[in-house]
Amino acid sequence: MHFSLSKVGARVKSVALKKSALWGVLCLLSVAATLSLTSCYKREWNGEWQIDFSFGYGGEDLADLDGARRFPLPGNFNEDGSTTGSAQVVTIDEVRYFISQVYLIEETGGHVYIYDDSNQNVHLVDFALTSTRSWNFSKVPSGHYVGIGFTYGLDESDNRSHRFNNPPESLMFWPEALGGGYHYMQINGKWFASSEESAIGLPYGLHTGIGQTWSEGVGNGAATAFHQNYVRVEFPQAFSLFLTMKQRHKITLHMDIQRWFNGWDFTVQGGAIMQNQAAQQILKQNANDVFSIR
Amino acid sequence: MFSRFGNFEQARTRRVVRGRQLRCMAAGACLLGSLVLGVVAISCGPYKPEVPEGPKPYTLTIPAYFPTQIRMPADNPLTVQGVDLGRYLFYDGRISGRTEAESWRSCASCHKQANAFEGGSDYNAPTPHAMLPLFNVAFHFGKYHWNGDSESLEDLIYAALTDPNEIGGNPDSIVAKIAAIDFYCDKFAAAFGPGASSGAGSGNGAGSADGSVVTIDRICKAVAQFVRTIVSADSKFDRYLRGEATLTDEELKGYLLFTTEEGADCFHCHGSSGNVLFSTYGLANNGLDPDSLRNDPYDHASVSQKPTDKGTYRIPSLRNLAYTVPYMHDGRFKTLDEVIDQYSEGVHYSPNISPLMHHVSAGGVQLTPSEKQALKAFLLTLSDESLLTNPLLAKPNDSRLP
Repeated sequence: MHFSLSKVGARVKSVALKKSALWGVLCLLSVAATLSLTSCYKREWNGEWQIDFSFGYGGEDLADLDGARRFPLPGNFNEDGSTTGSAQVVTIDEVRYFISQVYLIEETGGHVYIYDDSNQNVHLVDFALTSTRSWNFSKVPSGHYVGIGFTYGLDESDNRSHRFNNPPESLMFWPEALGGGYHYMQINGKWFASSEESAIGLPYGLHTGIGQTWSEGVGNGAATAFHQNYVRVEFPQAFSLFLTMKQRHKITLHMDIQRWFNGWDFTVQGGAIMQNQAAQQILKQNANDVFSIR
Repeated sequence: MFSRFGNFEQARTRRVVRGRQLRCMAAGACLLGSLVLGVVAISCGPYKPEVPEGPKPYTLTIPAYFPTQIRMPADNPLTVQGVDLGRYLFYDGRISGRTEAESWRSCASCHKQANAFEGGSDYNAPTPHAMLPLFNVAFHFGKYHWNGDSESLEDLIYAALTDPNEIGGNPDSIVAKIAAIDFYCDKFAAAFGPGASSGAGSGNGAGSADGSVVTIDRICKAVAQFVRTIVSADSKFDRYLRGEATLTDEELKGYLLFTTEEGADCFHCHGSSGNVLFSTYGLANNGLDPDSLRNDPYDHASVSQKPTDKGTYRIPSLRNLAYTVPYMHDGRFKTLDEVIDQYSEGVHYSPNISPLMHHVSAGGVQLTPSEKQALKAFLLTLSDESLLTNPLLAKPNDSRLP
């Protein structure tokens, strides 16, 4: 009896151990399942970042563009700040440009690329469209950031034809024959050979994008080579910001339109430059001086 | 010993069993808790309400390269029943509200499918400006009419119904006329519900007495829904984009001219493969006339009240040009050749000319005869013959329609 009771006890113990092990596994599985189901509550150490876009001309901020006000081109000032009578002047009707591949620079020099809520790192800024004058990033990793960098325009990986079906982005299309993709920038207005009131305003478009080399001179014959004219712009020591969880920081990226015209002469470049790589090259160089962080 | 051992073993067995029971209970509780948590966790997913019976959503069939944003007010989504009703109304002259059949006019009286929903060359529109065709309106985010005086398709349809130069109806008469037709009450109820005020209108016309089923607002909404389904996306150039057709060398040369600033410089305003609507639908002064001859009291300046908008008009789509003669806001050109000549050497300077008219100082883009021919060949690839015969856009084959 003792023997048999011991055996019974041992069997009970063995069965109980097996069952408890089974329940343990089930319990663990349940906890794992619960954890996976509740993962939508996972905490992420992210803050928010906002980039506002502003515009100015020659140091003066512009609240609107009426297409009528005449602005002097740079390099044509007298020493007292006035302009000479022969200075070229421009009116500005429209300004729009693509910014892409934005990254924040860590104190250690590392680059943290940031993406908006649509998981995009490409944005069209249009002076006339208020909704485009601000770009929000709600999931920026917390950290200490000291600078910012971006691409003015679109590089080879971003500049794919037909990636945008809808306006306003689709209206920036850059023709296939000229290299395809999208305009990096469009500034439209009139230029005047002098600042005299009677001067005649002729249309111009500072339209930048992929440039070309032509077999028979500017714009003639066949395009024998294409040139990437986007520019990487970086402000490595622009600020010192500790972005902590759920914090929101805002910076303003300012464009001084006048600086696009450094070294520019409309009597040489004319009003249409999409097929003029020499003109594209001037604007490519100027892109490094046009932006500032506020 | 026996009893001691026996008691000990029994007690041990009881402890084991009790322990197992406790573990089972703990595990059960854990499992139950986990399930509860899981259910709670799952509830953070998207909430899917039950969709009540009613009008079924209508899906526009469009190519992958077309815009995906559709201009559609929140209170007038496309529905199968709404589009169907709109199609009947579009073709029914009784929408004029008049009693005499001889005086009935419908939308289709002027916007003819055979002319890409425009009037055609033999039609003299009594309106201040030439007609604009009705296609791809769903993707049109600019202002309507040549002078950009309307921003709502529904409002534009109301204006067309009541303007003496167009259908010229009286809103009350229109509603009374349509409400008196039995089958329309069924269609209005199916498209928009039985009516807000009385719930009347079960299909026998009862709801029409107080206007709860048939209203001028619903008429405009239904017609707008149908108009939004008029999509032109099957021209030769569309088939070229889809890899289903090839363009001739001349057509390709024309496309090259169309899309280059040193060519015909058309694309900034009139699109390309990247803007397949072939218009930005913006407003521009294209240098059609010298300023001294601009005397149109209905141009965009009449809307904006800005003198600088004198001679400014909406940029029309170049799709289906072959069917939408005459051209320009005043219909002055009867052929495409005249239009191309205008942009080649007939552009007039104005201080307010569009900044995109880069070649104005030369009087135009200065095309050679062969370039003009190539440009014309390309423009004709934008003709969508299927639009002219699409049975879904045609007058319903229903004897109840006059």
